[in-house]
Amino acid sequence: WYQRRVREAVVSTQSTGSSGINAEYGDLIVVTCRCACVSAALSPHLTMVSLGSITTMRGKMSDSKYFNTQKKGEIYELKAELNSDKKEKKKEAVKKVIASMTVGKDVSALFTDVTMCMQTDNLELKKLVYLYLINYAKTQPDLAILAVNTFVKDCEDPNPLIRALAVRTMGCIRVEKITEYLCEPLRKCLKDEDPYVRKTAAVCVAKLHDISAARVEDQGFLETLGELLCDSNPMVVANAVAAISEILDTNPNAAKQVNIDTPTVNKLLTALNECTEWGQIFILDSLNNYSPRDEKECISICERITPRLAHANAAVVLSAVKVLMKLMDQITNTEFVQMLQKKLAPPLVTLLSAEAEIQYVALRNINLVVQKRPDILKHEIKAFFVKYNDPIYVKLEKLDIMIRLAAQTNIAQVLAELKEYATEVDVDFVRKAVRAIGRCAIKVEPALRSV
Amino acid sequence: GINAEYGGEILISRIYRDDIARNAVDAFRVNVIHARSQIRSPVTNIARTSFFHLKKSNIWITAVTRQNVNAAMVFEMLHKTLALMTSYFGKVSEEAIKSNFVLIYELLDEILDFGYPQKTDSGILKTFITQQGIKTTSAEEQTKITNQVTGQIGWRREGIKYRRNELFLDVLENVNLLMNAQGKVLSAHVSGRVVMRSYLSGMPECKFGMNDKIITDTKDKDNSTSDVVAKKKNAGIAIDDCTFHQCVKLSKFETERSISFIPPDGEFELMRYRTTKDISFPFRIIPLVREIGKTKMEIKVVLKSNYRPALLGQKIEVKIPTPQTTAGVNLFCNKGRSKYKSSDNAVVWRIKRMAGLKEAQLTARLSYYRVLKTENGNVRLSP
Repeated sequence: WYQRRVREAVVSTQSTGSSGINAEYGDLIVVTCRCACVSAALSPHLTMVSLGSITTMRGKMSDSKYFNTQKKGEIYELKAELNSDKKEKKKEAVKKVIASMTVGKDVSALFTDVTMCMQTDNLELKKLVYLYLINYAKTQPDLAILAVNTFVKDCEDPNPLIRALAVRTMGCIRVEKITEYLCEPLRKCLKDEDPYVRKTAAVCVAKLHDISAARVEDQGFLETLGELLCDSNPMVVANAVAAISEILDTNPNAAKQVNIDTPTVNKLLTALNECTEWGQIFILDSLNNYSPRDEKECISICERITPRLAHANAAVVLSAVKVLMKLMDQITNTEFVQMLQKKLAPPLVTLLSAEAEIQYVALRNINLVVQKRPDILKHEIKAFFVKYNDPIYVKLEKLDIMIRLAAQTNIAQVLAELKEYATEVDVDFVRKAVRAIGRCAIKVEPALRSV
Repeated sequence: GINAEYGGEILISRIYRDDIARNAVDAFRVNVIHARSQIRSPVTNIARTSFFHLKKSNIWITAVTRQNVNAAMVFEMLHKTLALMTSYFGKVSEEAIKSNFVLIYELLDEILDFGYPQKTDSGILKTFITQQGIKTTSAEEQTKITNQVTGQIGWRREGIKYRRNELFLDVLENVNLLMNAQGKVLSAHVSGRVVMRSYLSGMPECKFGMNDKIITDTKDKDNSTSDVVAKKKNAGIAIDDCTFHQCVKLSKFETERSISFIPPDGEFELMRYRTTKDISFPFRIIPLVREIGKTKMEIKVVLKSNYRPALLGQKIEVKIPTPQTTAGVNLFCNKGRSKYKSSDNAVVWRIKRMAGLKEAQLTARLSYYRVLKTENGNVRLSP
């Protein structure tokens, strides 16, 4: 019955062709939407048509109107509009093309026409055309070459936003022939006077390395990237670090040409203070691959990293914890290690007040921390007591950590909690709680009596 | 890649690397969105591809990768993307995403490059990515924009001017309490946020002090001094831990214990703190649960307000979870209104206003089905 109603609604929109539907169909919209998902498997075409009909019925004057249904021959209409003289019409046409691309329709036939629109001062239009290019360049590599001229020209544009856009987009077009032409502009942009362009170029080296590692090595980009580590702008440094870390990850041989060594580490730690939160994550993660020469250096690095534990971004805190845990292994000064352990506990517990997904990641990490150094959180077992409205994945992880932290001093509390959990609703959780009681009994002998 | 989906249909997506194809999302849709069972994890692994997802009302935002990425960074990025979109066009819904798809594509292009997060601060991004399309700018403005995007002070643009320089501070605290059935307090902590609303000109350096008094000094570039001294009664709380907004100079905090920063314009969360000592609970709840036979239960909840009689508690809401097999509920309360919400599986008791040192009581009588298993393993509900 539902499918029949859906077909009716679709037929009527097509016949009237616009938002001439009365309010009665307002209710049907909801039904159509739900059915669209169910019937997607049966007839995808129906899905897209009904999605289109929903937005026409709303009749809003916004970009959602570009998600209109595609009637037969609309490709030809679009072709004409793309080649129109009026700038506004061109922009509208490109928006329609992108909208069709978004819902998954194939608009690759319009490649040449869209590429013709690339030569424009309108930044918004340019970005849309570039987006189209990134998507379809692989399917039409010979035609994509036509775009190269514009890219090379844009890399020398007086507007730094356009230069960076060109570099960024060229790196995303993974066609072998185009990458040949990319090298010269990339070389220039790596030394550009504007930091925005330099930071984009740094990431582009990583993109190029992904397409063709040999080319990156031959053209000496790795050395240039290494030089960017000493750049005056912290965002450039951060992107360079990220690019280098990834390159070294996939190609350890590249370490001959660029590597993170002691003087660089010092510069990175200084940049740590000035970077955005994401830059701080890149830098901290790269430090994981660095081995300090001696204990003194370990201690000095630890001291420069500990302020990061107070950052609002959970990923910064976790990355800092990771580096500190690794460095602690090399420090024999027990007093310092104990001081560090004391500093690590509060930020880890604070992470448990974050959003559920971040709590989950933090708990998985805390599990490892507790396995390696149970002393850090030995007094904080209460923080891992399960709350009623925690999502199931958080509950299961907290339970696991609770068991690891169970010891003679707190076993009474833990058992009382586990007893409560055994009456919970989720079967998986209850099973785990009951098993936990057994594990605790094995772990802590006096508990055997109360169990 | 990043996708935003509605009911399984891709609303908008952006692919940053070659190793993921658009149809990877189909696997996600089948396994997670349309799965019969409840969601067991925000991270799903299907055929060596990891899907990290966030669900906001009926929109799913997914990040897809085949590599070993920093999971915390991915989730923080997804949250920031959501916050950015909300800051631009309000509630994130199917309608809003479709109406602003050009803007979203531009943002996705700017905030993530090859999968590396770049600038996600809405203040700066709004200067050159707008809903009305890009405004043509002069060469001077362009360099100003690029300097700000890559600059150290990435959260505040230059040249802000206000006629009246004002600063507002709000301290919002959440008391969290875990109590067992006998009324013994198992764990409690207070998580507080200091939210600041700054309407200041130029690039002022502010300092924030804690412990006994909070003094805020704001020095203006134009020297129109507005010495705001706000004293807060804080008989020396011991703070367990605090985290700060990225504008705070963390190294200074570590060494001198001073919080100095150049604030973003408008509203932002300066810091979050957590304390577990000396907590006075504003309410005491005494629950009594009695089972009558196998199908009836009586729940009595006494709510006592623990603060000064002069203070008024407002918009108090007590949520009492009920079994999923609840058939009927009879409620009686001597203050406020109570309702049984079957969709939430809870009895919700709302009290508009309650003065200190007062008591309120709710009695709920529930009748529920018993779930029986028949011989062939089927489940049957019996009244």
